[in-house]
Amino acid sequence: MDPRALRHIIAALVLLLFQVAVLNEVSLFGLARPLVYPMILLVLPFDSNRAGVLGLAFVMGLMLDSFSDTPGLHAASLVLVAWLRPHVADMLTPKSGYEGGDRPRIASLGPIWFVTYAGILLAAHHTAYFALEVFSFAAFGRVLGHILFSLFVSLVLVVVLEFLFGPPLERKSLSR
Amino acid sequence: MRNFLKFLLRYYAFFLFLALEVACLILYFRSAEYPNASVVYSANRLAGNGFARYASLVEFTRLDDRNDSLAAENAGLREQLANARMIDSVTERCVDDSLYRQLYTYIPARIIKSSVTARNNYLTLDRGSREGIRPDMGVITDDGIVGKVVAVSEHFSVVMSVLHSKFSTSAALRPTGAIKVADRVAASLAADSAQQGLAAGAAVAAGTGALRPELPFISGRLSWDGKNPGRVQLIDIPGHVQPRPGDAVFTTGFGTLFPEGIPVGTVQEVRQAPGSYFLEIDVALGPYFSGLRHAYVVNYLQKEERQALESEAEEE
Repeated sequence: MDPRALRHIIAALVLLLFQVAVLNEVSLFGLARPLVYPMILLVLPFDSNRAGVLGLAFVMGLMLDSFSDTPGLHAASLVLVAWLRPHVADMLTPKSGYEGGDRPRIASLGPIWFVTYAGILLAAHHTAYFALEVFSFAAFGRVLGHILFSLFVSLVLVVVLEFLFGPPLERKSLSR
Repeated sequence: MRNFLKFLLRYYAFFLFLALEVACLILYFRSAEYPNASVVYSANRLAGNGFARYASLVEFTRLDDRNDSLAAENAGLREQLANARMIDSVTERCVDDSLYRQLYTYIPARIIKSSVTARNNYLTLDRGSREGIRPDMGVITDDGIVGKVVAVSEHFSVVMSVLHSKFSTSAALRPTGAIKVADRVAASLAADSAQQGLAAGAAVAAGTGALRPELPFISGRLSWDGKNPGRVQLIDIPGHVQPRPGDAVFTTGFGTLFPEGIPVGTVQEVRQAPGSYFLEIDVALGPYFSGLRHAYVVNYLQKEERQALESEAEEE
């Protein structure tokens, strides 16, 4: 097996465990509930099989759901991310195309690109998740609060995780 | 036909996405309507065992707290022992066990998983159908109500927490003002009996309130607005009642979940419900939900008979 794929799988399992055992218990100011597991999908190579990514999202979502007694909730928002991912990547294609690398990471495409990419997808994920969870127009303001605060914390965590555990940066990529 | 196949192939990702999304949504909304064993996952043994290990690990770090609460409970139980009691009534009391029949039994269980951060929260217990737990039993802890059982497997059961949009139970309070009135009634009764020369009886009545008439309680519905996991809302309390912060809120025994008089919490804030005669009261929950580790499942022995009668009456 490709050692890089093996590394990705182990990292994915650790991240899922981190989400289930630590982050699921976190609720900052009763509003921000960080959800970082979509990162596993975010950093998959651009040319990954679309059906494979969708299937992975579905299975991973159900696994998370089994830990929080919300069958279908995580899965629904994660499948949405899996579908949007290639479209967002197309939308954000740099002028020179994706020659910097085949994976959406800070090391190859720079921090600004990565934050935009992760921000859009996490926003979609959080919107779907909290809207479905509360599912009431009466609580619109609070859902918006949940989405914005959680999105901010999740995005910061994802970027920090990417800096800490992503591929090592080269000087070139920082100056981009 | 070939064009159609081409079309499908070209957009297969979209159709797969649609199919999976619809499957997720069906699963989600079905489970929100009917939370039962087939869809509430953590009732299954695999995840349950994992949670049990994790819970015992966490519990190890909370032994101090647990010791304190056990000691407190021991003290409470000791107070109920025969040697900690005396007969304070003036009339002679006939002790006859056949007068009292067991109405509720309690099944102790350990909480191996709980959540407070979601809109709809659940807890998982490490006891199940083998120990006699059935769906729709109430769950309480030393200092308050916790929720009701919604799904049971052989060794585990899943509890819908009070902190759930579908949870609702009747709860009541005795406004401080009402207690004052009742005290005055008791005092005047004591004065009457003193005039009649029954000094001993008067002393007892004034001191312990033994002759205090049954206090009126005012009941409403308890539910959670999803905002603060430490606070639930008591609604349908009429506007003429004046509860004060600190008043106790307790169960009524109207439903079949909890016995009467189990504490729920204390009044924290009282508001007039917008455009209504009724009050909306914030109740600070007794138990600290995310720290709960032990609970009792309430087994109401006359539930079947009572529910059968009530549904029969409703049909007519």
